[in-house]
Amino acid sequence: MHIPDGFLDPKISIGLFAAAAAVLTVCAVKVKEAVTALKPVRALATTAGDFAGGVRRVLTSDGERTIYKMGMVAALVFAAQMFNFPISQGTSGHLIGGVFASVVLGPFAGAIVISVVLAVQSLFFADGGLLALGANIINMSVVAAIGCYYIYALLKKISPEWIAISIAAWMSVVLASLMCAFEIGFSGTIALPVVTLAMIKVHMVIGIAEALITIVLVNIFRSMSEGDVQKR
Amino acid sequence: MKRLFLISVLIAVLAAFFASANPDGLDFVGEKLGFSDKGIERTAPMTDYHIGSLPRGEVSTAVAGTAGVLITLSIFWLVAFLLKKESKGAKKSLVFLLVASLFIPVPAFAARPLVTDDFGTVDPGKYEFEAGYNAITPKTAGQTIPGIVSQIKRGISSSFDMGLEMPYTMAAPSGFGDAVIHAKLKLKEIGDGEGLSFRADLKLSNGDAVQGLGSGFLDYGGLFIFSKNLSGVRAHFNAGYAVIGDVLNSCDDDAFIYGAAFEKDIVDGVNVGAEYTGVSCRIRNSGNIQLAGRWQALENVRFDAGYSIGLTDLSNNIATFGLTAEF
Repeated sequence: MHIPDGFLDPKISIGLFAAAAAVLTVCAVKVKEAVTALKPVRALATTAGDFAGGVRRVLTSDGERTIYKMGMVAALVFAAQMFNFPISQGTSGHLIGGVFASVVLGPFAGAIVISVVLAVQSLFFADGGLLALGANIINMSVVAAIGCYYIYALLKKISPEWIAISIAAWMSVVLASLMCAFEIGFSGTIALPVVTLAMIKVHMVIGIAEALITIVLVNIFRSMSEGDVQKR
Repeated sequence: MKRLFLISVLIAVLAAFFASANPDGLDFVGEKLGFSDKGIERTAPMTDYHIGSLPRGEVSTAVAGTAGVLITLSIFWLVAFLLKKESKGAKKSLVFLLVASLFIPVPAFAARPLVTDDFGTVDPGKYEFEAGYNAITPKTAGQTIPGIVSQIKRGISSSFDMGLEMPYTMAAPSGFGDAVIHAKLKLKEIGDGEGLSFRADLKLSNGDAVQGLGSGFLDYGGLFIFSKNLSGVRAHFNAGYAVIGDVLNSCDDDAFIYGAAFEKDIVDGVNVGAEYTGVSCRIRNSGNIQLAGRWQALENVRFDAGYSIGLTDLSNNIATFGLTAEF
């Protein structure tokens, strides 16, 4: 679902880029707060002899582990997104991984992870446009990772976790494709109702695979990273 | 964690051999509804998950995929490393540089009349206005195109300024061309007017492309600027990369931009400079040598003139004069 450059009107692209930058800034602040702790810092004695003290954010050891975990999730999502699986009518689909990332890391770290994957794909592999990167971040990390995390959190209260994950994962693909269709439709590239219907139809099928893969990945990741924590 | 890394690599390698080659959901819809041809083909270091020096195929994709896994991982390692350094009180500029380098732009005018930019930024709260008259003679066509270029810059902080550049062409058809937005950040100051800066540029597509005044595409790029005083001669070095939106541009691709300039005060208020600037891209290498002089007429007004000689058939000869005012 990586939009290349040229599908979107430049004005829409820039607007989405700004929106993506704003959301990611908030995410970065939240994650930084989570991985650091305020630590009083005693500066050098001033000429008057008293201490000019202050506080500074310092990376905690748990925080450091969280960042390495984010890297691991990003690597898994990057690899999994390469794996296009065939679906009907000569079409294929691939994982978005937004729900996987936000379920194991939380919505803010999850969104950053997916955005980094999208940036690497665009910059190093020409997969997805450069100007369209903002749109792709909005679709796959803001809508799919942040938005659908809250669907998962809501469903988890009333149903077993695997059901919550499956429904949130399926919704993430459908909602991201809906957003993608709106962006292309409003850019005037193609009539909005036509592209919306076509996108939703295909992605309702792809979403089923997203749900299955997400459950497997969440289980693999939890068992392996928790085993790792216990060893320490 | 090590096992998870191996699983990622395994998935990437398996994907290279077994992933479906069918178009994905969006590509399929694009083909079915006939808008897929609007997508702009881009090149990148590993376009389409393929390593250029290997024969196209599964092995090449497996290597590219593994490289991608390592790149994504190392970004987070780097963030952890930088945060650890920052915890110990290191500068934030490194973190900014990392982020900025991800979203790199098209160098144009700097300290008139030189094209090579210098390290400095406009003082916070101050404005700098530049205006110049250019007579551009392409070496292939004899006709000279007159134009005016103006730029206004404002200092945002002691190490950051932003500017808007507006070109106007006076030949038929006349009109405003594509505007360029600049943002310059001092990364490291090593002395008075000496140090390293980074400039990000975004060229808009406001010019009328049908009339030939604009390209109709957005370009963007980034430029590193290093200035150093070499025993009375101020030297500026620029190196940058521009991502050009128009795939049919004169470069047929994106471009590397570089430049070196040297300037010296000869008498009080008058300085002379020489520079070499070049653009290097897939089908074109062009270079210009410019000789220029500046005269500080008032405390805050400076006049300048220069002549730039194109070194290759595809470059232009440019005569220019203009002024810079600070207020």
